[in-house]
Amino acid sequence: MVVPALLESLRVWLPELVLSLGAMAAMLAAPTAVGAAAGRRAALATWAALLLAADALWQVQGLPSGAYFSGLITVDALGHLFRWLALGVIALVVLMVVSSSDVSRGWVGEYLGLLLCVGVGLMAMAQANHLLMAYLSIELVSLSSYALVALVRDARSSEAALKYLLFGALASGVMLFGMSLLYGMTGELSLPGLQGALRTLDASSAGALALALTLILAGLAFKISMVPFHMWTPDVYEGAPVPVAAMLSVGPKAAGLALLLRFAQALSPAWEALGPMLAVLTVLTMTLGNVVAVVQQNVKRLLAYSTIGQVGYLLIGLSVRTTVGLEAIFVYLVAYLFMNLGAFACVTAVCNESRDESLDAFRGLSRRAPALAALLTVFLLSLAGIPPLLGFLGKFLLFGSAIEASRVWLAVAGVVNSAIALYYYVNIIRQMYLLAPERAGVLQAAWPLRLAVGVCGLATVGLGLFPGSLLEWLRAVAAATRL
Amino acid sequence: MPSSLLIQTGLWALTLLVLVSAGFVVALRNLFRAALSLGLVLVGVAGLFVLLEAEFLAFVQILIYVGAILTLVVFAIMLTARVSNPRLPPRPPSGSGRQRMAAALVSAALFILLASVTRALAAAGLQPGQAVSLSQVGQELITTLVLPFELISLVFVSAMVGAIAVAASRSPR
Repeated sequence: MVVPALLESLRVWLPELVLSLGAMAAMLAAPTAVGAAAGRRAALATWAALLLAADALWQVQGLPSGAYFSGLITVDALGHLFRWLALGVIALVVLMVVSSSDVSRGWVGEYLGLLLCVGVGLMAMAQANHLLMAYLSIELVSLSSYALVALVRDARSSEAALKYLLFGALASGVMLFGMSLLYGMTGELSLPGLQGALRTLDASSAGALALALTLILAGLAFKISMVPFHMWTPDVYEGAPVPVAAMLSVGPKAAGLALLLRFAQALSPAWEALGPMLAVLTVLTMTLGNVVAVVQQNVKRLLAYSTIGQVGYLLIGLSVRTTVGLEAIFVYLVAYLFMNLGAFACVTAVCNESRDESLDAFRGLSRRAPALAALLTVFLLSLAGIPPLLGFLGKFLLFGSAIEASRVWLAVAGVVNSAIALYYYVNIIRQMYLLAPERAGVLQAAWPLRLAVGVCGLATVGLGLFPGSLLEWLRAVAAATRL
Repeated sequence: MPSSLLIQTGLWALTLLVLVSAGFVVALRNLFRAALSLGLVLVGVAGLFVLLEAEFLAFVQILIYVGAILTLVVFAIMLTARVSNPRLPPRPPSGSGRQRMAAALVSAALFILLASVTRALAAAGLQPGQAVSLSQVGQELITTLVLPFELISLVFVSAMVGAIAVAASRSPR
């Protein structure tokens, strides 16, 4: 009786299954060869897994939505969107890992395997319908990320990994405490069950409920670098290899938002009490990220603070909680995936060659690598929200959703912050085009990097100019998602 | 009833044991002694589980925490020669006093907050006979909870591969 249901569920879970097997294959393939061949074999296994998973995910979309694995995961349009986002992040980061000089060549197999594990975790986070699944998938993402950050042999990386691990363990503990309070009050762990049980709670438990939700929010806020739980972000990005920082800046942020959306939806009446706090934190997050980014001289730290600022924009959509806001979050996440990973891929190319992570490394890049400089300009302008790029569209929708929900001050804060952000993004462009290069010679990026930058550039410009079908799809997803 | 009085006394005594040893874990400078105090905490919690008639949980607590994790902690301390030195480690750098104050304040505030909101809660009150049997746990693990069961193995694999790779990449070849 149980077995057919499990088999049916396994079909839904096929993309994750393929990715997990790919992770094992990548780690086992590397030791079968020595030197560069080991990396190539691991990359081959990784690509096979990614392509098969994409194919499986395409097929799975036809299956009926609903709860699978005895209600532990839910399959719906929202989950599919975030599974595609997770696959996209991992695929682009794999391109960076195989060509980054930050990544020690002897450990490419482990890097790729752990990345695929992160991918499984991200996809599971997006579908979690049960507190146990939510917690486990977060831990899968976190533990693999700690290892990915620590896998460079230098003191900075050790410090970054240790900070990440300690803060991350604390955040997990805080979140678990909140979950245990919820369980103690309701005796339920599944999100639909919680939704029902919370309605029957009496007034005496209102305080405990608010505290439980705050603790859960705090745990997730750490994962998405929301103020005041953002402190780890710049240090960890600075110590991590560039591709890993790129993965951390998009993957867990997107999946964390998906989980926040699910919690907001399931814990609905009580979650509203957090609304004012969330709105204030939204403004604080974007302001702190953008203001501190202005004074950064290290490009990884700059992008870390820029990430915090971008998360602030995304949180606008979460704090207004309308269908328009949801659609805006989705559009901006798609835009953010391409423009941010594109920018990180350009940074990988520059750091590979110069071994220098300061902004000076970008001086005169337009003369040494015109195409790379032009594309990095596109990504930075898109991050700043300049039309007609995809980032503009996302920001426009986000600010529009705030105005539509008559929270004009959120939109105003966003616009002011975009102006601040323009300063430090344009500063990099100034370094590339107006200053003389520090070193001579043409900068030739490795082909996987060129592929990654090309794909991201094409998406940022192309989808910005012709967003029709993307908007149609995302609007359908937003309409199918309960608030 | 004398037996319930006995249980009450036992609960209080174990709570006291757990709290005092937990204080030692934080306060003792010698890491080895702190680890042994941690052992007392873990055993005390297992005792609490026994008195609350959660025998399976107590068994797991002893097996995993006292048996495996504490052993690992002690093992790690013994391997780190400088830490296992019985003499006290050097004083922490100055300025940590203010950090301690801040940490104590935050912890106290969180404790007061938690205590004040949970005091109002009514315990759901399970019946004593409602304990979950072992075979039921096993059944659940391979039917309704099979997905988390398998996902945990992936978590372990990634944690183990990560730990080994990190350790190996730092050791001289």
